Amino acid sequence: MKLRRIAPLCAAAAGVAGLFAGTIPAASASTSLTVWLMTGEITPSVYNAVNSVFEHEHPGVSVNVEIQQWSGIGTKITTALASSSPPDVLEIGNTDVPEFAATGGLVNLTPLTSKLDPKHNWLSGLAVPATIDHKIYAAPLLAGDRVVLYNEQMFKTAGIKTAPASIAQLETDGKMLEQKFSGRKGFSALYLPGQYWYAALPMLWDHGGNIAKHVGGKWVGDLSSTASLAGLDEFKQVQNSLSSVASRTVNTNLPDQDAVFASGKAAMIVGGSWEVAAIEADNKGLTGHIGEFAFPSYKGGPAPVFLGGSDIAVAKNSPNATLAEDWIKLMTSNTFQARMYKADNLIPNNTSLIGIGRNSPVMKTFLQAADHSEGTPASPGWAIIEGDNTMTNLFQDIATAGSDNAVKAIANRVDNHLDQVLNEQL
Amino acid sequence: MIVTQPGPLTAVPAGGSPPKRKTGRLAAARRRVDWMPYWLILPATVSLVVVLGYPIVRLVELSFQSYGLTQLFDHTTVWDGVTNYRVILSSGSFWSSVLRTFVFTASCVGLTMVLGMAFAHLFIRLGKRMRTLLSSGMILVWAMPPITAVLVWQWLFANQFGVVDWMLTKVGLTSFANTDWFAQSPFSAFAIITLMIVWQAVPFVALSLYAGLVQIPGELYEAARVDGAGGWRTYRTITLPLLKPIVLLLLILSVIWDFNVFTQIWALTGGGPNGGTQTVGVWSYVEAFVGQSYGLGAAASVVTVFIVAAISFYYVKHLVSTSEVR
Repeated sequence: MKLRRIAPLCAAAAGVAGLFAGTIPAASASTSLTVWLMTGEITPSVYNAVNSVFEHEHPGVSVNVEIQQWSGIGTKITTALASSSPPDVLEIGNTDVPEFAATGGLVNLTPLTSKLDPKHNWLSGLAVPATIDHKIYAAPLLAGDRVVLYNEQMFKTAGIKTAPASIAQLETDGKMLEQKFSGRKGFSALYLPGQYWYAALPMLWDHGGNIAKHVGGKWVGDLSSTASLAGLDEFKQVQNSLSSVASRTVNTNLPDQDAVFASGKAAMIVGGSWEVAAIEADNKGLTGHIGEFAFPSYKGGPAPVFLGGSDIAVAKNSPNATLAEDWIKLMTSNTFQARMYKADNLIPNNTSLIGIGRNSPVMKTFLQAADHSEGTPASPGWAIIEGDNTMTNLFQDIATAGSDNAVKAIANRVDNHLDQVLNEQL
Repeated sequence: MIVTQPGPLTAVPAGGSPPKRKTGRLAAARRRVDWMPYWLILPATVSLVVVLGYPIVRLVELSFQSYGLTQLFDHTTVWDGVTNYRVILSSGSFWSSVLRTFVFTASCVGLTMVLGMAFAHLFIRLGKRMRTLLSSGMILVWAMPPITAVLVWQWLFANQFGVVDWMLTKVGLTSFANTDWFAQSPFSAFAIITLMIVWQAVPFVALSLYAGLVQIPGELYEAARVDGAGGWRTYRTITLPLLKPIVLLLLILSVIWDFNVFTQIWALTGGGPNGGTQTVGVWSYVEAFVGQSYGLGAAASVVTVFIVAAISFYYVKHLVSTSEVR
C-alpha cells in the first residue's frame, strides 16, 4: 500500500530530475536491468558473460544480477510482482510459473518466442508448465533431474553385472541384493521414501497415466484412470518390495536419503547429480564408486523423468520489458546454454543441446534421462496442490495402502481434490 | 473503521475557552498537569494505532473482499460482501478443525496447568541449589525457539534412527520398532504435538505460580494447621483462592496461545496425516497462503478472534471482578 502511494511521487521526482539533466543523451546512462537468479545454480562466470554481451549490445544499460535464496522465495516473488518496481527478469521454479502467469504477474512472452533459439525442442518438463492457454509466460532456463544412483561395490558383491534396463530386471536385481545384504538391519535394495513424489511420477507417466488432463477448458484429475492406476500400482509394488518398511511414511529428508545410501543401508537411491557429492562427502570410500542409470521403464529403456528446474520470466510491472526480453533471449540462447552446461553441470533447456554432453562422465546419464521429460499440470492451482502436500500424501498413502482396491479409492479421493483445486481462480 | 481516535478527546478541554477566574502559576500548573497523562500516553497510542490498528482495519476490510494474487498484481479491489464468511461457516473442514482445536487446546491447557502447579509446589519444597538448577533448565526450555524445538522433537520421534524408537526397541517393545508416530494416526501425532507444547508451556506457568505461592503469608497455613485442616483442605481453602487471579490470568493466556498454535503443528505434521491434525490455525494458513486467498484467510482470522474472545470472555470477566475485590 505504502509503496504504491510513494511510487508516483518518486517517478515525478525522477521526471523533474530528468528535465534538468537534459544534456544526457536519450536512453539515459542510468537505466539498469535487475535480474533475479537463484542461488547455487548459474555461476557468475556464465551470467557475467551474458551481461557483457548484453551491455555491449545496449550501451548505457547496466545489468544488476541479484542472487536469491530458496527459503521463502514464493512470498518474495509474490511481493516483488505486486510492487511497482519489481525486478525486470526473474528465475522461477518450473512448477511455480502457472500460479504467477495466470494471475497476471508475468509478461506474455509468446511474441518473443519466435526470436528465441531452441523453442521447437525445449524440454517439455520446463515448457509445459509455462504454457497456459497456448500462451508462453516464461522461457525454459535450466533443469535438474533424478536417476538411479547405485553402489557399484554392492552390485558386484551381489553378482549384478549390468544396470537393470527394465522394472522387472530392477525387481530381480533388488531381490538378489536383499538376499545378499539381509544381515543389515533396515536394508533397502532401492531406498524409495513413500512421500518422494518426484521419484514416483515416472512410473505413473510410464504407463501412460497423468496427474490431471486438460479437457475442454477444464482440469480433470486423471489418477483413477486405468493407465494411471497401473502406474500407481507399480509404484506400490516397487516401493513395498525394494524399500524398507520404515521408508513408507517419510520423505527424503528425515533421514537424509544420501546418508542412508552412504551408510550402506541402501544399494540404490533415486537422486540428482548434486547428491553424488553429498554422498561422497559422507563416505569417502564411495568416491568414484557410485554408478548411475536412468530409472527404467516397464517396457525397457528409460522411463519419462520428472524435471526440476527453472524458467525465466519478465515481471508485468517492469518498466524495461523490452530490455528484459533481450536479456532472456541471450541467456536462453544455445551459445550460453552450452556454456552454462559446461561450467555449472546444469541440464540445458533443449534436447538438441543434450547431445553435447554424451561423453561427459558426470552428466551423461542425467542428460539422457532428461531427453524424455514430463511436466506437472499448467494450472495456477498447482501451487496449492504442492503447498497442501497433496502429492506427498498421495504416494505415502499408496505406499501404506493395504490392497490395489485401496489404491483405487485413494486415487479417486485425490482426483476429486484435483478437480476442485486445479480449476480454482486465484 | 473501528479505530478509536484519541485526538479529539484530549483536544476538547484544551480548545474550550479557559475560565478566566483564576490566573497565575497555580492554574497554569494545573492545566499542565491535566495535559501530562495524554502526552505520556500519546507515543504508545500512536504506535498501537499504526502497528496494530491499521492492520486490523485492513484485515477486516480484506475479509469482505475477494482478494487473491490477481487483485494483488492488478491493484484492484473486488468487494465480495459476506461470501468469505459464508464459505468458511459452511465448510465442513473448517468446523472439524474448530472441534479439533478445542480438544487440543483443552488437553494442552489442562496438562500445562496441572503440571505447572505441581512444579510450583516442588519449587517451594526444594532447596535453593536444586531450585536454581531446575528453574534455569526450565527457562532454557521456555526460551528455545519453536522451530529449533520442532527439529529436536522430530528427531526424537523419527521412525528410523529416532531416540524414542531406539529406546522402545532396547527395552524389548520390538512391536513398536519403526513406528512413524506422525503418520500412524491423528491421535499419535496430536499426542506428540501436545507433549511438545506442554513441555514448552509448563516453565512459564510453573514459575508464575511459584511467584504467587511465595506471596501467600505463612501464618495462614499455620492457623489452618492449628485448626486441624489437612493438606487438601488447606490447598482448597487457602492456596487456590489466593492464587486465583494468577491462575485465571495464566488460563486465559494459555488458552489464547494454545488455540493459536501453528508453527509446531505445521512444521511437525503439515496438518497430516490426511488433515488429521489440521487445527484452525493450519486451516487458515492453507487457505490464505497456500491457496493465495487472502480475503478468505482474513475472514478466517476474524472468525477465530470471535471464537477465542467468546472462550476467554468468562475468564476475563472473572479476572476483572476478582482483582476489584482485592
